[in-house]
Amino acid sequence: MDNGLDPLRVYVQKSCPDKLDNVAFVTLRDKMKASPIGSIIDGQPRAFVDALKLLDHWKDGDVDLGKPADWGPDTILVVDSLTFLSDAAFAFRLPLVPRSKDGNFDARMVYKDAQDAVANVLGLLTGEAFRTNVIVTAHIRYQTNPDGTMKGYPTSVGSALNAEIPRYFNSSALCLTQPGGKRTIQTIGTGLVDLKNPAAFKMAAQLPLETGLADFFKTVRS
Amino acid sequence: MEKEFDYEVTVKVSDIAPYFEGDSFGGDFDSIIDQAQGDAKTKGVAQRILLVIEPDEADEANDEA
Repeated sequence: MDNGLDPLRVYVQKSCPDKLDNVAFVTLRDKMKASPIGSIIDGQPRAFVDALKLLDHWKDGDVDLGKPADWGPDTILVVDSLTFLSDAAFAFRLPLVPRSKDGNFDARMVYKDAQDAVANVLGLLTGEAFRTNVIVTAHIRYQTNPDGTMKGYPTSVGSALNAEIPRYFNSSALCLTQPGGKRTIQTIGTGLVDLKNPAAFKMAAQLPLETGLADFFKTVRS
Repeated sequence: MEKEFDYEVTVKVSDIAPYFEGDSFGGDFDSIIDQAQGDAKTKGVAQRILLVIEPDEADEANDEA
C-alpha cells in the first residue's frame, strides 16, 4: 500500500542478492487525479478490494503463490502499511454510503464501515487459520485517552479502532529514530507507546533496523 | 506419550497438562489437543508482529509528497 520498496530491494541486493527472488510484492494504491476540490480518486477505488483478494489468494499476473494463509511458518506476509490500507478502506466505503437526494451523507457511517473492514482484515491475518508469519507496519498517532493520558497507537481509520489494534497481535515493536539519526527497533514499551512480545525476558531492548526483525524472530522462537 | 500432527508441532503430555483440571479434563480429548496445538502454533511458529513506526522528517516529507 506504500510506495517505499526501494530500500528493501537495495538492501537485499547488497546483503543477499541470491535471495531477491524470495520477495514477491504488489503495490496497491488508488490512482489520484487533480480536481477543483483537490485531489480525488480517478475512477473506482480498487486498492482495498485488490488487497483483500491478494490476502485470500496471492495471484499477480502469471505469479500464483496460492493462499497466504497456507504459506507456512517459513514465510512472512508483510502489510506495509496499515495506515494506507485504512485509507484505501475508507476510499472503498465512501461511495457505498447511503446519501440523501442532495448528496449529503453521514460521514460517521463511512468511518464505521471502514473501521469494521480494517478490523476484519486484522482478524483474518491474526486468526488461527492463518498459518503464516505476519508483519503489519503502521505509522504512529498520539491520542489523548478519556482519562487524559496520551498514548501512541497505530494509525488506522479515525481514532476509535487505533487503541484496539495491538490486541490482535502477540508482538508489537516500535521503529524509531535515535538521537543522531540512527533508526532502531525498540521492544520495551515507553511511557507513550505500549509494546509486547512473547519472549520479553530474552528480547534485547533495542535492535538494529537492518537485522532487528530477524533477531526478533530468532528470539521468540528460541 | 506424544502425538504428532501435520503442522510440524509435536504435542507432549507436558504441553497439554495446563489444559487438564486436576486429574481429569473437561470436554473431549481431541478438542484439548486442538487447543494446545493452536496455542503452540501461535506462540512458537507463526508470529503476528505489529511494527509501529515513528516517522522521521524524511518519511513525513515522503508522505506529504
